[in-house]
Amino acid sequence: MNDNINYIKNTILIVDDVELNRVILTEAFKDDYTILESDNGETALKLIAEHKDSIAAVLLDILMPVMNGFEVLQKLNDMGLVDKIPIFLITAYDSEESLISGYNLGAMDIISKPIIPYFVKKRVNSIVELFRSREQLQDECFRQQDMLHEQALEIQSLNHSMIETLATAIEFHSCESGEHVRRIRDITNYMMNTLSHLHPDIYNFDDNQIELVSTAAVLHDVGKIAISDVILNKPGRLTDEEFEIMKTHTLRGCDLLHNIPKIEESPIYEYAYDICRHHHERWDGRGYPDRLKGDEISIYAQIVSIADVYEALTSKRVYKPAFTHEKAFEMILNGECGQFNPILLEGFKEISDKLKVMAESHKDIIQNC
Amino acid sequence: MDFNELCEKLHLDHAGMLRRFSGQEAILIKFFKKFPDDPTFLNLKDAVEKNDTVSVEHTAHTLKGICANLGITSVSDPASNLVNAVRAGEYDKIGPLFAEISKAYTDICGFINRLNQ
Repeated sequence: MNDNINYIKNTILIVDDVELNRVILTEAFKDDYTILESDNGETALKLIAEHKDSIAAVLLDILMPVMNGFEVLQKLNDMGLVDKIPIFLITAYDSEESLISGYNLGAMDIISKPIIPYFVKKRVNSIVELFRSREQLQDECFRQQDMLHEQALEIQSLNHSMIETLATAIEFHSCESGEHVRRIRDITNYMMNTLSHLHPDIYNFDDNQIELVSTAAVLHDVGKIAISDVILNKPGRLTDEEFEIMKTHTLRGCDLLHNIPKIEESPIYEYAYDICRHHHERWDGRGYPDRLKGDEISIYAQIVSIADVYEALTSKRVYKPAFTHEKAFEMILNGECGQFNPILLEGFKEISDKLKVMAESHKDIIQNC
Repeated sequence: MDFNELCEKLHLDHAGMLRRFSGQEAILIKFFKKFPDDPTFLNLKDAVEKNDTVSVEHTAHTLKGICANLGITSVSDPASNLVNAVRAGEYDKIGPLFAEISKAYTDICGFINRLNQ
């Protein structure tokens, strides 16, 4: 008999100082709703505050002692409840002016006395139904929004792991472990956090940006896939000609990124492109391929560049042993590996302890291999 | 006298009233019997005697609502006219309109008091 029981909002509050009016309305709605009654505006407000999650509609008389219907409506308006609970003014006070101010205050409908239950029920029920549908739609919307957000996170995490897998495959190609790309990512992350902390006026990176750049950093050497194994894994010094070929991995990386379908729409693309191309530029203009100088090189490429140098120094390569953290640190600070931005070096010193821990565990891994 | 006879005597719209009370005749009769005890008429009388026009408007309005719900148009119509007269500032109409309300009210209460227990 009663569908309303199944809804959480299945209560109707009847507010009228005249008992007869309340009884007529109660009789009209009692089969379908739980009924709350109040004979003045003040207790009505209390009831609404207590039961706001279960009230489907309020039927409100205008002329009442203590607090009249307009005052109740005004308060509900102030509390932001008129959008959530439909309020019906039930009144014989039918001057045009009062009807207009009722609607202006947020009344959903104004029903004239004498009350005719058939019409009141029709009008109240259809509005209650409308509010319910709206709420259900809203819930559904929120649910789908959450789902989309979750899916976006999943896609993002899948993206990251694919990028990492790709970069690791390339490192394998040049006989390095997947740990290398992960360390580059971590150092980039530390450096960005530290620079934001040391110089918030210049580098105000947010978490999202740090995450994007760190992931993009993983791709810095992606162009090495296009370099012959013979050159990549040559155990001695490269000839000038070989070195020129080796240097093209920066531009080849950019070509490769550029050819990945849809990647240009991804927020990672610009960082990855920049990092691929410029992670061998140097502060004094003596790097490659574009011989950029100073701040012409983006801070992201500069960060990955110092991370890459440090990583190369502390790793064993076919042409050199692994240096200790202290030795690598010293070589970078005294300019043996090219010039770096002084602010960058400041940040680099700041993360020294973290790098040392990383280098130690790195050594363990190498020994395990 | 039973309720049907009362309706005939007072020319009340029995079917319309029943609809108003969702078909609950017992409740309708209960409220008819309570009608003479309702203080609204006395409050109106008091307000008229004191010349308190604000109160006259308010109580006449309440009386109009109650009588309209019970289908007692012989009271609700002049009560409605009284509300409009006060709002329009036509205070000279208060006396005659109240007299009309008073007569109809007294008649009705007389009939209601003769309803079977």
